Amino acid sequence: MKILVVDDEQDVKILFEQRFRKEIKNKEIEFVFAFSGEEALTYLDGNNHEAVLILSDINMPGMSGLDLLGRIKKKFQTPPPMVMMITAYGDKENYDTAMELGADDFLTKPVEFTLLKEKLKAIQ
Amino acid sequence: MIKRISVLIIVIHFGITGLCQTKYTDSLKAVLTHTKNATERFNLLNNIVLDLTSFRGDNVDSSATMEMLQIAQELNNDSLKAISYNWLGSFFYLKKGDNTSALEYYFKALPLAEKTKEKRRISSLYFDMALVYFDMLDNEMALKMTRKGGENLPDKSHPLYDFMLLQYEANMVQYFLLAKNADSAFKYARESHETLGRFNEGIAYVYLDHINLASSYAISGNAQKAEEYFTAAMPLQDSIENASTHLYFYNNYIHFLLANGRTSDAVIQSRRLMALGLQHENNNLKLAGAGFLRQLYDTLNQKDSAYYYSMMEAEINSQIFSQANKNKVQSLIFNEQLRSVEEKNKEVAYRNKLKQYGLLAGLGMVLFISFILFRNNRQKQKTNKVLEKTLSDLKSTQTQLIQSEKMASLGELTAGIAHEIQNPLNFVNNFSEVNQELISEMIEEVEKGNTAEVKAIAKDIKENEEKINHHGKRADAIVKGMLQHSRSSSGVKEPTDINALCDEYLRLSYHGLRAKDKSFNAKFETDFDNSIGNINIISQDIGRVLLNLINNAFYAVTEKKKSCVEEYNPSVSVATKKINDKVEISVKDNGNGIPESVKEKIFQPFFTTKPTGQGTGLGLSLSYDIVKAHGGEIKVETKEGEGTAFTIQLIM
Repeated sequence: MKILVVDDEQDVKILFEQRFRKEIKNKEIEFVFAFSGEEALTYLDGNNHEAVLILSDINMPGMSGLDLLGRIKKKFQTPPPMVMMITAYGDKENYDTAMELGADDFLTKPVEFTLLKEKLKAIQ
Repeated sequence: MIKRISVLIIVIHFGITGLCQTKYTDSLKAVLTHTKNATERFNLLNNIVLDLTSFRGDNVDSSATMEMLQIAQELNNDSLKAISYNWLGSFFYLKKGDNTSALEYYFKALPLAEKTKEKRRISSLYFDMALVYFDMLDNEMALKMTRKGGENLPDKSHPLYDFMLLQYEANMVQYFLLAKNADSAFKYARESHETLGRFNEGIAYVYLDHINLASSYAISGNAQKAEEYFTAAMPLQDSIENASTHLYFYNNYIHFLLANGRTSDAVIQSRRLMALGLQHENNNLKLAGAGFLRQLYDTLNQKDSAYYYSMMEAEINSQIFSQANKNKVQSLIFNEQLRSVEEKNKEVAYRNKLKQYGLLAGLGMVLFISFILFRNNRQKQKTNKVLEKTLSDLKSTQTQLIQSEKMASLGELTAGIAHEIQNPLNFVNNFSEVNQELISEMIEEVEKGNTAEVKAIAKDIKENEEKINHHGKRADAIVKGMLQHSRSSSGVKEPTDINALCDEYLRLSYHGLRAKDKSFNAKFETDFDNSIGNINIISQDIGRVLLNLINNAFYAVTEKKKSCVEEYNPSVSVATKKINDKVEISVKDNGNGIPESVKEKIFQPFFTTKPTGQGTGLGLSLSYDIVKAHGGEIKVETKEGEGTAFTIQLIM
């Protein structure tokens, strides 16, 4: 399963790679990283349907996570990849907006990787 | 010839008026018999005496005058008393030629007249006294009295003004005749003649007028004219009883005759004068007559007659100018002088009093003004106190506002800070959890004896530890920054990495705004000059400036996005640049720009374009003050519809 992680924090890459060491080793999960919404879209354009799941931060400079979500759900309709939103602001408004735009799931920071792993297993 | 006719006409005219006068007096006397009221009776009597004496040239009616004095004393009326004494004086003078008694009464009348301030009476008394002095051969005193009378003439509107003026002018003629000043005598004689023409009353004054003109001609050497007027005056003599005027006539006429060598005529006229004197028992006339006759007979070498008249002259002289009379006159004059000195003293005292009152009033005014000034001053002081209080209130309000401005930007920061702290904490937590797992794995691998794998894991752990440390420090810096911001400015400049400061506040601002407004989003770019290094600034103050500028920039692009078509890409960029010894920090946005009309005001306190409640209007004002306090400059470049760039220049 190929997962696209979108976050403006560079260290997210290392963190994910460390957290999913075993899964990556066993080739269960493959991670691709984008550090902005724009970068994520560019990647998706070039690698259509490769990413099954997108994990996106909401608060990013330039294109926000929600913006990205809206565009993905509009652009890649058959079938759109799953998008899971991750944000530091777990408020209702953000949650509602994300759900309205078609987010498949919603996680708040700090990310509980145990929980995330469970969710990923469920998808697989 | 023409002159003679005109004189004749005048004579006839006055003859008729003289007749009318008699009738007038008779009718007054008829009324008098029915008049019982004291004041009315006094006025009637006064009119009769005035008519008889001044207009007709009769001698003063002594019985009428005595009754007037009686009435005046009964009524105890100063004005009436003055009139009565005036008439009594004139009686003694005009009829009797008793100069001493005349002056005595005039001096009695004068203070009363002055007390009542009746100018007509005062001037009349002075003119009458002048006549007495003329007969006493005291010309200078006569002039003095005439002048005083002239100073006290009644107003022109007074019915007797012309009458009084005539007396003044006649007296002046008499003075200048005696002073042998022909020109001046003529001048007054002509004026007097004109004045007489204006009121045409009183045969006595026509007579006087003729004498004035005749005498003026006489001393100026015009014998023919003089003779004409003297001749014209003569027929009037029969209807005039006034001894004093006759004396005036004869004095001048006889002198004229003597000067022209007409001795026999002079003898005739001197005898007439003598006869009149004897008739009225008037010493002044008798003295003059005796004098002329003594002189004439002496010239004619008739020694007996000359001796006779010289004896008579000596006798009358001794009567008139007796020591007793002289003393009396002297004492009268002395008393009058004393009185006038007292009057003057009174006047001086009055003036002094006035001055004193004036001074007091002035002092009062000064006090009043001082009081007002004092009051104004006190009010001002009160106002000043109020103003001072208001000022201090305003200052404390300003301080509070600055504080609330800080807190407002802190509020904007809070959400951003939460996010900014959340991220590093996220890493710290996650990396430490990963490390725990890695350590467990490493132990497993050690037990397996898989050294290569152990080494790889150890390397990861080390890396993660570095990350934990890095993100821990990041969170620490954020918290410190927040504390610094909320604290009052330390005022201490410290070497600061301006690039880091810019980046920190850009991020804080961005996340803060994002947290407040979900729809907010903007691209932000940085372009830092890494050669700057640390610069000496009060970092929390400059941080606040940056936060303000960046917040404003984000606000501007958000506003534009709200009103803009979809193509718009909101963008904010922060750049630093080293220019010689200066550091330039610019905050640019591609918002709507600042309208020209507002540009001038943006640094003014409390100026804001934001809706009420959203902006304090202190952000840019404070920023301006902070930059100025750093000795730097803050500039703004803006183009409507295209964006704004704020540039701060700080000295390194």
